[in-house]
Parts: sequence; structure tokens; C-alpha cells
Amino acid sequence: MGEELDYSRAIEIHDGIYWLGWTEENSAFRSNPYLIDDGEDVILIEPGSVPHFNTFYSKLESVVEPERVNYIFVSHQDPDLCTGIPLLEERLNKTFTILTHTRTTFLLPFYGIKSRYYAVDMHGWKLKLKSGRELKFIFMPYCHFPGMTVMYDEKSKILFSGDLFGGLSYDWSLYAGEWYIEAMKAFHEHYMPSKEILRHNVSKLEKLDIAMIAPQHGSIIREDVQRYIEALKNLECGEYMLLGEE
Amino acid sequence: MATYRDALELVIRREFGVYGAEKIIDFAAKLGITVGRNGNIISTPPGKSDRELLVEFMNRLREEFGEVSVISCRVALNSFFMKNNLENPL
Ligand SMILES: [Fe+2]
Ligand SMILES: [Fe+2]
Repeated sequence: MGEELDYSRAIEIHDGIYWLGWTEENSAFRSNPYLIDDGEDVILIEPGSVPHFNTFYSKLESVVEPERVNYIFVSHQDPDLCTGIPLLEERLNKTFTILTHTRTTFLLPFYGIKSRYYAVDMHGWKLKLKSGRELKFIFMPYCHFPGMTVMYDEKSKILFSGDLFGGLSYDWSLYAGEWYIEAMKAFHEHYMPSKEILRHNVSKLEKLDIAMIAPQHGSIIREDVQRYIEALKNLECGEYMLLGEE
Repeated sequence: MATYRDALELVIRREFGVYGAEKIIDFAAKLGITVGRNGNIISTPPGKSDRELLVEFMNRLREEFGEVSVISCRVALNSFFMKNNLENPL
């Protein structure tokens, strides 16, 4: 580690794959939009929210002509990753194809989104891009939304993990540092429904060859991926942990 | 047998992740607790039980860092007390 990164700019985390997020001193809960530029297809991943739209948009513009974006992937429907979509539609005067689970497609129109949907569960959990590159989708129900779906890019071996592997931390860096597992636990203990459900879902990742995990909150994991998977598999979580507090 | 000192180390390590090790080591020092780089407690002030220290640590943490500091380890602490049959002093 130890490299100096300029967080005021988009950061290329892999060939043609960019982090378009932002930093905020006083926030423990940052969001991470990403972008895959695959030539004929450009996929925006978890684009972000209303208050950060302008920052996000200027970073987007710095890496591609925004008009080239044709797909948007969202892992679920939360406002921190979806409310920027109608603003983007308006700014570019165009619509997109949104890659997500059917359960999410029912909720997204309530944000005023006009784009069409590609329900990944209706298409064999995959999408082949024009270049032949394949995106795979892995279902992670109830972690934390019933339709939660994460995306794996076969070419880069990056897992775009939605809320999974996200962290809650004021001591943020783009790439996970020494104590990131603790930041990750702090988030998951509150947002994940139960140890059994989390373990069942996270175990699905073991058959993938993952080089990097890029979550929608917190830091990117690029070393010791297995250690973080194990940490989530063994995490005690769920509201019943607070029994007796009410 | 798990103890209140283990609970305090759990909190310290969790806050390392949320606020960074440096800040938490400095904060603990103000309470007379010496903490090592891996979140272990090296020494505590005389005359206070680990249980009392845990309560003081959490109260002062809330005052100094705000609610998120308490929320970020609340589930873990509950789970720890339940598992180890320890009374929750918080
Ligand atoms: Fe969420
Ligand atoms: Fe989120």
C-alpha cells in the first residue's frame, strides 16, 4: 500500500475500471460508484445519490463521454445508490438499461426512473457484452434486501459486491487497510439479517476466482480476499443480538 | 473464560476500524489505559475493575466521538455478553 491517491479525481482501479466516489471528512458511510468502460458498452455501477450527483458527474465526465453509458447496474434499490439515476437521465436526456433483480425493478420506478430493466434473474444471471465479456450476477437474498444481487466481471475478476463487504468508518482509504474487517463488521452487524443467511450467501462466492472486491460502501479489498470472506461467514449478526434492549 | 477485559479489547479493536488506531490509542491513554498497536490492553489504572473501565470507556467514547462510536460495537458487545453469560453493564 502506501501509494498517494488523489481522491478528488476518478481513480482507475483496473484497466478501464474506475472508482467515481468521493470523500467526506465527517461521514462514516461513503458510497462508491464505479464504471466499466468496455468500448461499445459502458456500465455504470451503483451510481449514487442526489447530494453527490455533481461530484459524481464531473468524475464520470473525466473518464468517458457520459453519453456512452448504456447500462447501469444496481445491487438493490437503496437511495444512496439509486437516487442519482433520474438526475443522470435528465442531464443526458437519455435512458439506460438497468441491470438488477426483478424484486428491485418493482421499486426503482418510484424514484422517477424512466430507464428500462434487464432483470438478471430472468436472463440466466448473466449478460454478455458486445465484446464477448461476460458479467455474472450472484443472488444474495436478504443481505440486506430480498433482491440483493452482486455482479462479477469475469475479465477483471472484480466482484462488485453491493452492501456486502461494505464498511462503516471515519478512517477511510480507497483500499482496505489493517483494520478494515472491524469497519466491515460494524456495518454488517446492523444491516444483515442473520448469521445463517449471511453465511449461506457469502459461501456462494467461494466458487469464484476473485481478485478484488469493490463494495458500494467502505474500501476496496485487493489483498487476502479469502480472509474477508471468512470474516463475513463467521459474523454474528441480526436484530436478535439486541434482545432485551427494547 | 471470557472477561470484561476481553469485552473492552473487542471495543478497542472495533473502534480502531471506525476511527483509526492512533485516535483510539490516544483516547484510551486519557483514561489511563495503555493500548498496544494490535488493540491489546497493556495496562489499566489502579483501583478500577475492568467492568468499571468498560462502562467509563463507553460513556467517554460517546461524549468524545458521538453516537456512531457506540452503535458500531453495540451488536458485537451484546452478542459477546450473551455468548459468555456475562451481565451487560451498559
Ligand atoms: Fe443498502
Ligand atoms: Fe448501501
